[in-house]
Amino acid sequence: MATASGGGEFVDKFPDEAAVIKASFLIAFVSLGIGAFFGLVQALHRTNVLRVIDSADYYTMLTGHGVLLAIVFTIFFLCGVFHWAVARSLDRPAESALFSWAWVGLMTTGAVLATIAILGGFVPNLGMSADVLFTFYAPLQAHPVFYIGLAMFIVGTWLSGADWFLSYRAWRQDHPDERIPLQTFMVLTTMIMWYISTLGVAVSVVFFLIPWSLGLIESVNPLLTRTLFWYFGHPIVYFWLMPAYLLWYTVLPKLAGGRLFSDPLARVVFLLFLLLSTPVGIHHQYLDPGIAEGFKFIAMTNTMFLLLPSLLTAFTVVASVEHGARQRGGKGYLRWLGALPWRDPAFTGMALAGAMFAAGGFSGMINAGMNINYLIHNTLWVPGHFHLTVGTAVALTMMAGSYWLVPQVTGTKLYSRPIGLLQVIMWFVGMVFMSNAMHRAGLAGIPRRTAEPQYQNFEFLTPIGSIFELRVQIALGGTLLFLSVVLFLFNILLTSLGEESDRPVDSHLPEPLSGPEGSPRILDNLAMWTGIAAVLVVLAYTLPLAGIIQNGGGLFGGGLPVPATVSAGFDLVLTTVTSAFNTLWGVVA
Amino acid sequence: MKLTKARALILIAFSVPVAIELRTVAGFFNVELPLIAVAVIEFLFLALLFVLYGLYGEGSESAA
Amino acid sequence: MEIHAYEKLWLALALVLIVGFIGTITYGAAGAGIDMIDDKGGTVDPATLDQHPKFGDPGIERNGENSYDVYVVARQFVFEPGTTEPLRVPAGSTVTFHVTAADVIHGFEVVGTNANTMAIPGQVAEFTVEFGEPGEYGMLCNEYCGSGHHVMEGKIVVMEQEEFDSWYEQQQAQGEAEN
Repeated sequence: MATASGGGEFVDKFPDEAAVIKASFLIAFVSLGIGAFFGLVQALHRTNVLRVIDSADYYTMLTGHGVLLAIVFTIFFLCGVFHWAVARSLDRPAESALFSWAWVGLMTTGAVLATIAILGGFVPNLGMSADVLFTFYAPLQAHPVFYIGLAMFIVGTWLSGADWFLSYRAWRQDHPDERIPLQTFMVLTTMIMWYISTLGVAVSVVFFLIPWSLGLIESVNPLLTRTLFWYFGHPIVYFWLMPAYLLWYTVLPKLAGGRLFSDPLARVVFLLFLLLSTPVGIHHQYLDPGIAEGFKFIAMTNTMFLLLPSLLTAFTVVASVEHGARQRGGKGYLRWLGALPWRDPAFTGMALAGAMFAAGGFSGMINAGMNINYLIHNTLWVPGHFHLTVGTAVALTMMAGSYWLVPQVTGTKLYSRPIGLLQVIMWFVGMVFMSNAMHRAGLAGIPRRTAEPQYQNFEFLTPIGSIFELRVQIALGGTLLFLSVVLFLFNILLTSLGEESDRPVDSHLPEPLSGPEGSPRILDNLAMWTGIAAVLVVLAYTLPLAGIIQNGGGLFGGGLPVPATVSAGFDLVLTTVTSAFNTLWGVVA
Repeated sequence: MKLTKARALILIAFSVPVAIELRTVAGFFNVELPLIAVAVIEFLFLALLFVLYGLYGEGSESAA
Repeated sequence: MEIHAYEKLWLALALVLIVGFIGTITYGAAGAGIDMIDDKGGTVDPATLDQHPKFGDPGIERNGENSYDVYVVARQFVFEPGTTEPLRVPAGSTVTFHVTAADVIHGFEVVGTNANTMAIPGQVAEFTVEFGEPGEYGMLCNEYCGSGHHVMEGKIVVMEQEEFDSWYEQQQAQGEAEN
């Protein structure tokens, strides 16, 4: 890991990579700003504190909020982080800067097209809209441009992964016997998981939704496209989370003044995510008719075992941070907490994100509980949960990480540490207000994704406090979160405009306490792990998918026969995808 | 240990979840705490922190 | 591979926690017999829902002593029955719900209870609910279904047995007169 420690700053050493990362971050931050603004309007609207838009437009904004934050912001940012991590840990530039720009360009085009389709919903006469929310469940239909943009974006992410695999392959030729550097290992395992899981959404979008939105096929099988979405929809959660874990494992211990506790266990954790992330998607469908209970049970057990890598992470990260605190002179059972560098927004933000992730993990255990889930399914509890996970564990870690990463790619010093500190604390406090109230509101039965959850026929009841208090909490929390994003963007903008510095940030990453040497080499056998992951997916999904296609009126629903040409095309593309997958496998092996 | 601005901010941050779940905790012991009581407790905590910051904070002479 | 003693302990505890979770859920499903939504409701052709023997004219049907079937169609932005007419059930009865959707995916939630399911075109969600004392429950759509999603709500009225019986007979008579 220390390979890049000598010889100048990242931006001087890898100027082309730094430019690609800067571009990715820029797009991520623009999306963050727009998405956060939509979030503010929604928080005030649904709580009936301030309604500036029509309730029908709420759903346009909600789609924008979901897509811009959960897809565009997170993925562009993580592509930047991964590009940095691969170049840094392999200590070599990407094989072709042109290729890097190609994926940035393709992803950007896709994101812009999807965003145009969504924002078209605000212009009634345009005839273009995509008010289908982040999950785009058919038979709700968006303009074809939305699906096409989405497909381009996903293909862009595939190319970005290829970029890192190519770097790895070239590095391997020069270093035939070395262990894969930890950060690269993390990037590669995450990308393999992503390849496996995006197949589901790619099939759904390319074979069903695009032809259907263009009028080429009459109908779709709603349960099939929904299941294919969740085949991808849960692993994407780990696609968001893995860059945060990468930062927690490799950067946070350093910021705390120490070093990572154990390199081999970090590898084990990432492998567990590769294996278990995909065969769990059906846990989003516990309440779906048409899927037998046994399949839900399998998804449930897999999900519960998915707690293991996160619990191991909690241990390793806390242990590494404690080690850091003791290096800084911290003493006692708990007093060492005081010795941590709380002034540093990068550290404090990540630490707070980790603390909130623990809370999010607990509410996630409720969601995963197949029976108790009935109480909270599709209530406001669920957004309460994922605003702790993707909305804080991931987003706050990314913002905090930016305070340390952005100076490395711009070569300028962070504009203001105190503003940064205030920003991460504001996010924490805002999220405590909003997420706590959302969880409570969910227990009272208040639904999610609803512009006006105030009904004629009944009142919601809450055992402690009142619904009014919960609304005020949500509105207050949402406002604080938006202000926090404004501070963040302002701080980053002024950072990038600042004067160049020779040493903008201490970017050295120390070696872990236990290195990879003692760990079995089989951990690095990516081809084998990919194979096992694929087998698990086949086991978890073949029968449910077959059942859904057989009983739900075939591939296209509505009892319509499958047109012969489409069926042949389906076969053709399936073969292409399989062979592409095999090629990828060849590269890995 | 010196009460720096950063440490004070962290303490304030963590007091918020404690305060808003105080009524749940009180509920376990069959005590019905009104909202105003929670607000007063949080206010007292902030006031205490403010005083401590004045005594032991940055810029004060009696660094602990 | 060197694993710290505390880390081993933590790993063991984590596994105990996970197995414990799976155990309680397995007990809930097998021992306590908590009913899950699954594929037992069967499928239905959403395009010809109007001609379906049950979903064509959805509502409540007696199928035994104190035991009823209720057919509900969710469509943009109403429950049939439930929205224009409340869904009436007798107190102290066992009611099996059959819920489907006519157009897009909807949700069906009886507020403040765990009676909660997805309503998916082509699929029928089947689950059984025990109704106790007379009273009223709200129901709402908890899956985004279009621009009027937030107005999609309804009411369940749990009636005294006698009151319900006279209403039910009247309904039956009306149905026969129409045929």
